[in-house]
Amino acid sequence: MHEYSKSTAFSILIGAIIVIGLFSMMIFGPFILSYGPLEIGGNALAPPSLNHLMGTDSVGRDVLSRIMWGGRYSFLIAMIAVGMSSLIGTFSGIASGYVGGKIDRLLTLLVDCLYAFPIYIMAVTVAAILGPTVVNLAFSVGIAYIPRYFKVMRSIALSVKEKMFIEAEKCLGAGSFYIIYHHILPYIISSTIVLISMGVAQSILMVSGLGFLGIGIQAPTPEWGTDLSSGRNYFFNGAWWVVFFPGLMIFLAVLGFNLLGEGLNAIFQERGVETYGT
Amino acid sequence: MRVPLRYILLRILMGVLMLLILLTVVFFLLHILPGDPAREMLGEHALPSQVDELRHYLGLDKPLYVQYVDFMTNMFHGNLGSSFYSGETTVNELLYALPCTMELSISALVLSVIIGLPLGMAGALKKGKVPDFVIRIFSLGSFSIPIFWLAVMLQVYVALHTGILPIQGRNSFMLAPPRITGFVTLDSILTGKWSSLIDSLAHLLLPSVAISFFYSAIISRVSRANMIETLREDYILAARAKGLTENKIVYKHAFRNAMLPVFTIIGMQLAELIGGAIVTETVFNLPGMGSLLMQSIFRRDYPVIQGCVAAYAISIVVVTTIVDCIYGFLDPRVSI
Amino acid sequence: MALKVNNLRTYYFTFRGVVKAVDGISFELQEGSILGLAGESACGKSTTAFSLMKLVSPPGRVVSGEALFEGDNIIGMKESEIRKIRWKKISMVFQSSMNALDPVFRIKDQISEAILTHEGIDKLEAEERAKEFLERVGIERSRANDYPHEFSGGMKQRVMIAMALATYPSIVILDEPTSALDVIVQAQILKLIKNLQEEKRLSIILITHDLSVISAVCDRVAIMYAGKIVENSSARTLFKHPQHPYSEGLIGSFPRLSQPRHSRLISISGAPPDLIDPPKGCRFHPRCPRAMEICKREEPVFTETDENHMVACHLYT
Repeated sequence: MHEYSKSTAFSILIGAIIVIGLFSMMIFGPFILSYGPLEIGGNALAPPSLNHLMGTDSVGRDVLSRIMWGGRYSFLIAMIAVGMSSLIGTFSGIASGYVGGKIDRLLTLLVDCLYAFPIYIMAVTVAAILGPTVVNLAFSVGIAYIPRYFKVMRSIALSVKEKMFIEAEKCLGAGSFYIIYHHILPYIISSTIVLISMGVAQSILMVSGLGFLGIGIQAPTPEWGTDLSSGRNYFFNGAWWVVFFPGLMIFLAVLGFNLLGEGLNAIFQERGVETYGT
Repeated sequence: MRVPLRYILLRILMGVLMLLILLTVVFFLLHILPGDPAREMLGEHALPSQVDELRHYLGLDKPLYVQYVDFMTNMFHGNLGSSFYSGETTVNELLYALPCTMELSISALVLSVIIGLPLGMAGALKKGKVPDFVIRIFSLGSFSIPIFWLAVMLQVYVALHTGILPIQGRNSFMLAPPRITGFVTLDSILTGKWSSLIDSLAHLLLPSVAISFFYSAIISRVSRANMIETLREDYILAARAKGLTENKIVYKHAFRNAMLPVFTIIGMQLAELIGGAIVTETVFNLPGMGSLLMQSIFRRDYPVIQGCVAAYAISIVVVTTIVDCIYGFLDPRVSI
Repeated sequence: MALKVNNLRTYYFTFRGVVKAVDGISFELQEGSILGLAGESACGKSTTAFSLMKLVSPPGRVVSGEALFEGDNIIGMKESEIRKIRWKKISMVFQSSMNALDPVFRIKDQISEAILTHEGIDKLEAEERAKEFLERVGIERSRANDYPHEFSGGMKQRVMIAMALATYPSIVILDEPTSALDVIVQAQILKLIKNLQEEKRLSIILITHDLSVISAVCDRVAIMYAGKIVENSSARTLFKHPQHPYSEGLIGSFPRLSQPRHSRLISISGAPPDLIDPPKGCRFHPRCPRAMEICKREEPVFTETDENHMVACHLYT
């Protein structure tokens, strides 16, 4: 067993704890909660108490259950977004790098244009235009991350081509494919894992950001960003829990995935596997 | 000029290409949108004939491709149409909003660099030890905090509760400087109104802080990584062999080399910041491009939406080109 | 005697174990002579050089030993003391001079920097001297204003040599000064080194794996293997009468014009040992064609066999 540096172990541990904790909360939480997210179970704007651990919102719904349900949406959209953009980005990147030539140049040009444009604006505009369904939101968020996958996978494809060329020159025959398979595949896997982890983190941020702006998940469906936004006015008047807890959840979720991604990246590096460091 | 003209032209070409692609995409997406701008503007009780008349007036009844061609040709003549909502030319709306966003972005960037750069350097120099660990945790934390959450909390806990800093807006009532450039700080200096300057800076502070946590984390990480890489280089070992003190090695040789790629990244961050300020503008009620974009989305104000996208694209191209040019001056290896 | 090294040990403390890169070597550098330090890659040659200037980077460090220079032990010095010796008294030409020059500073500034760090002279004077030395190594004065990336590999090597000499040091360590260069440039550089050494009465340690370089310029040779010195003699004696089996192997594997046409090159079988866990006894015994029982158990002691000829081998004890 390898000895990893303390900071790596720390990152992975805390990250894993948070992520697993959040996942279990989302999956099992609704079963142990006393209130539903749309259920008016108490007085409006009641501060945290034993009945309502995170208080109630402006209509009297339990904040805690809204958060647990809301997490499902955030994660769902983030997963779809990351899945979509990693698939598209990976395949197009590898294909483009491998094929080369004019197609490659054209695609790279297009991707560079896309890459330069601020992610937020693109997501906001597309989300606003397409409308706030889960799939559309996933699409708006995902589209911004395609360039990153494209670039990384393309550079991997290029390095594969180079290695194959060299191996061919050395006339190793079938052995070369074996080597490449064992050397390049770990590289692809390690890069993808790290990128996906960080991608989920950023997607959650973006989804909640869109919710906050009013073009994400719409009320009364629970969503961390949307709830935070509707809670703002009440926050001004003293009801801190309607804003604090949704934000805290976003923070924890993002932190968890970021830690996980960082830790995985460090593990790969310490084991000597090439990886794409963010 | 060390940076050749050809390179700048290529950049501009890419920028134009980006602009065309983005605008085309946005144009067609907008017209998929359900909802009728004319109807929105006239309200629910409008007669169908009135709506039709307005649509005709706005040119919305022409075939889609005709509208597109009109739009593109107009754009090349600098005419972005007029806002459906206010009637002002789009260009004017943009010119009004742009300086606000730029001012916020630049001040947030400055703050991010002031915080992030030293932290990154310190982390690199103390790599593996406790201070480095603490800095990295702090960075990762800052990177994970949602900007809007931070903004709202700052707004309530710092501005509202303590009253030290203003809650929203660019200037307090009566303290706004006369508009020359649109940058309230600059305008205050230019007209010598010092109270306006202080007021403007006070209003900029919280929004900039809210943004800078996130971006300082990025800068900190990048500068740390580059510094560590640089310190491994042979010329650093050579400098040490020459008998130079550690301070000189770090600040004269390592820093200058490590900063080159970091500088480019900082430039890119500015480009991203310009877009990322949208949320902060909403929270603090700043009349920048972010607010303009959001409002025009809700009002189905097509020309302004398209105008905003165009404006963002152009600012990105300008910023990145300037950054590249400056880089060309800094790095002696970039040659003709 | 310019430098006397006694029992130097430098280890690298890595995740995988302790790499005993330099494990108890001793040698003397005579004033005004060129000592060659030869051996395969990764046998500890560069580490020795860095140890002498206390430049060993973590996770490595000098564990024990002495390096006596002008009456003081370098190894025991504090950072502030050795900084005064670095370059002023002992300078070094790095192995990959490609990267040893800072890309953002002009050549003349980098050379002047070396001078100004140790002498309180005027900046212009330092620049002037820099240009003089550049000329001496065959580079036009006008090129002093250029940046490193504008020079070719061979020229950068010369710049490094100029920089190493500009402070008039007593000892210069050259770490593989010609390995990245083509043969013609190699010859030029070697000639330059020889000339400068004669002119300035320098004491030089020349580190290389290339025996042809040793035969061209060195007065004495120390052969290193797996972190230890196995043979130390004058260059001529080594090439005529090598004693240690490893030295024999090295020289035999070396093609020479004087050899008969169809003579075979002897190669040494096997690979260099792992320095974390080196073989017991004599480190060379797994590859030695003349290994005996005792070689597997006991480490041979470094003894003098002829005048000024030392070997560490059980064949001679």
